[in-house]
Amino acid sequence: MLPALRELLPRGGLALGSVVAVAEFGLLALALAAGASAGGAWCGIAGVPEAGVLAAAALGLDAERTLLVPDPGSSWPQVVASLLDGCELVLLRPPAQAPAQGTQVRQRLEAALRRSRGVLLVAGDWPGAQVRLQVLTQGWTGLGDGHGRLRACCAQVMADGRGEAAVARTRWLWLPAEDGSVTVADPADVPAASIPAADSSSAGSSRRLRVVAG
Amino acid sequence: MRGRQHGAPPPAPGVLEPGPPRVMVVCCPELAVAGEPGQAPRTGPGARLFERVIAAVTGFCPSVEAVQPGECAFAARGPARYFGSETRLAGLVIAAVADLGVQARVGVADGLFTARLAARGADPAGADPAGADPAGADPAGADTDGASAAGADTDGASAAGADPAGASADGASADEASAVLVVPPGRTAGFLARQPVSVLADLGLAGQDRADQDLVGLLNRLGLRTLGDLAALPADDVAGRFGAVGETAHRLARGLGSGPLAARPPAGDLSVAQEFDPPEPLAEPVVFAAKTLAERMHEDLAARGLTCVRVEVRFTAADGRESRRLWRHDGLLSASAVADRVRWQLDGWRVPDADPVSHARPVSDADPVSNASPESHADPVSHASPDAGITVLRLVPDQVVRATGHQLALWGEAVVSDRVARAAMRVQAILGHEAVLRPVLGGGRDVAERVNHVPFGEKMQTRLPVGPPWPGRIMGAAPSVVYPFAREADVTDEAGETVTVTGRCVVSAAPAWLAADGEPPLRITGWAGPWPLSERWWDPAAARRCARFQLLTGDGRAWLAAVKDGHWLIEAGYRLWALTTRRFPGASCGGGWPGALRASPRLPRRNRRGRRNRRYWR
Repeated sequence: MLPALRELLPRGGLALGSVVAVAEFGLLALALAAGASAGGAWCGIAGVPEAGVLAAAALGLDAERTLLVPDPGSSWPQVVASLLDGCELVLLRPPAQAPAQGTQVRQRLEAALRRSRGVLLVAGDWPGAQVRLQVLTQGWTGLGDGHGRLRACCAQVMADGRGEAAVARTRWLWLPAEDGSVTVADPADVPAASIPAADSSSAGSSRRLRVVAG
Repeated sequence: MRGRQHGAPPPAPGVLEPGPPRVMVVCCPELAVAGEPGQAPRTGPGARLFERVIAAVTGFCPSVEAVQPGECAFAARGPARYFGSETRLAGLVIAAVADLGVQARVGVADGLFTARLAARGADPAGADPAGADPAGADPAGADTDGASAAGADTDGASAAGADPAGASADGASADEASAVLVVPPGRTAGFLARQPVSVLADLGLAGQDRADQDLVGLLNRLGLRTLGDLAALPADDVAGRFGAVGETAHRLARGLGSGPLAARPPAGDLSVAQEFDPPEPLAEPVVFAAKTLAERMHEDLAARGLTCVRVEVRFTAADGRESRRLWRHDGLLSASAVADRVRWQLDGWRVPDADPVSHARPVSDADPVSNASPESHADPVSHASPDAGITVLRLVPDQVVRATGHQLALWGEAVVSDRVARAAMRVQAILGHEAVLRPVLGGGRDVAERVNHVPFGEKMQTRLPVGPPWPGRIMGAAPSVVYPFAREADVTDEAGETVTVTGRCVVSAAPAWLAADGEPPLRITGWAGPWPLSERWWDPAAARRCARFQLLTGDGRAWLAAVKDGHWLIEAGYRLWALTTRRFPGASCGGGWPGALRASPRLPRRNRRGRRNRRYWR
């Protein structure tokens, strides 16, 4: 588990046998997988043909311990169940047009997950996920008008869920920081100009929230 | 027959089918040492003289392989065409070797094994210790021996007639022809069929003497007395009954050979080298270093799941001379066996052989060289050359092939556990072999080409090497989303014209709107570029020329886009996620966009017209 992400999760890590949902595939999902992979776990990535392995490797993902199934097709539940037998963490993006019998499939997969004691990281919607992670705002630094380059991205990440995770936690993170890692950001450094204007109210409230939380 | 016609259509008339390679073997029985592995290597006049025999043979073909001491081989097709015919070439080789005072016999045939047999069979007196003894003890092999002896006793022309294998002696004098046996192409099976099975042990087919002797004894007891008898058996039955050794013997008996002779450089540099500073005048330290080097080479090969058919031993002396020699390896030589080859080559090379006439010097004069004591080594060095010390010793594995013995180290450090392999294979069973991939990070300038996807279970190798620098890479964090196929997009300026890049890398206007296919246009709030990329222009198939941009859009996402052939392509995205409109309505719109642009169906057409007017990156 990457240190910067620990504060977001209940008990500071991914609980074995649990489902963690990230709102959409992106660097946050890769960072969660990379943290587990750096700890020696095998990672399976299913249904994400555009996964940036290079970015994940910069965060600590061991490419030698990674299996990619870019297109699991309609048999994705069987594929994920098989992957869960071999890999400690499976990153899955379910097909967009989820079938109507979704609840049944989900329950079966959760049973397989508890049996194999792995972690299912879902990029998308998963009702009943123990932890849900969401990026509320993000702002890149370093890019000007015709000059510069992308250097770092400051993002506000919120985690909520069920049970222990029911209390929403919000953190500012450099995702990625200038050196490619993930670190906790100081709200004072947040590039306010690049945050979408529509989110300014929520960003302000989360800043207040963070001050209260310590 | 019908299946054959279906499977492989007969070649068109006039098209030559690639046949097995023609190999010429030069055998000097008086120089042959008892090359038993494990036995102390014989250094002395024989080994040194053989080195000079090889030097003489190298005059006819540059790539000569030392099969074992006293026996060397080379691919004969090219030299034979150059010198007229195989028989004529053989006569020239024998004459050149005879100049050194060595009697040689030459066999030419398809494949190394048959050629070696032919070189032994071409004995004028029938006194070959390797061929005659077992043949005499073997009643079934007696006719073979008798045939070759009868043919050899007469002149070359009658030898060709007497030997049904078709020993041809055209254009060669009688005494030369008696030392030459040419098995014409396509007659290999007939020639091999009459050979006794004992030749398998004599030629050391598996490198393990005990196993060969056991197999030969067993075959004799079973009534399989000639190679023809063995070849008549079904291959799978032989493999099932006699194991790997039997399988090799069966392949040899059918004339298939144990491996191709043609040299092919290995993919990566697997050679190992040791430098000696100051130059090492003594043999012992070099041989000792060779043992360590051979161990390292074997480890390197094993780590890649490879083995080599041959190993090339190279010396460089302080005075700039160099010695190269290929030795048969077949993955069977231990480190000390490689070191023995190094010693043989070193001992042969240390004789001053700059002048080919100087071979007349009595061999006994150089005898003390081969002794192990250092003081006797100092003697020849002092008179051979003032600075003949060895500076570099290099071992190069040649003809690297996949090791079929064990594959444990194939995966490198991260050994795939059974659990993972089972899971991956189950998914492969559902979706197909290509559906489960393992990423391998390689070199390249593009984010997409730096990750190679290898189907699970195949060899992990990169298309482009990681090692060299790749100028032109985009600095900074890698994008988290790399599209397998770049997405079409339209990037327009404030006026609605497509942004273009000239051949001199000048942007027509600041990009203002980004419209990826299937998405509403996004306001560009920041951009950088163009960063030109023109690579592999010498290869039309792989050539690529484009100009890359980083774009930041109003919704907080960042993109890696490229202009190629006048088209905008989105190659990757730096997005963390897409804002969920359900939770934050309107967040993805950034600053809003002109309704005309969003609704206009003429937008792409206008862009295309704009492209026609100027030269862009293409």
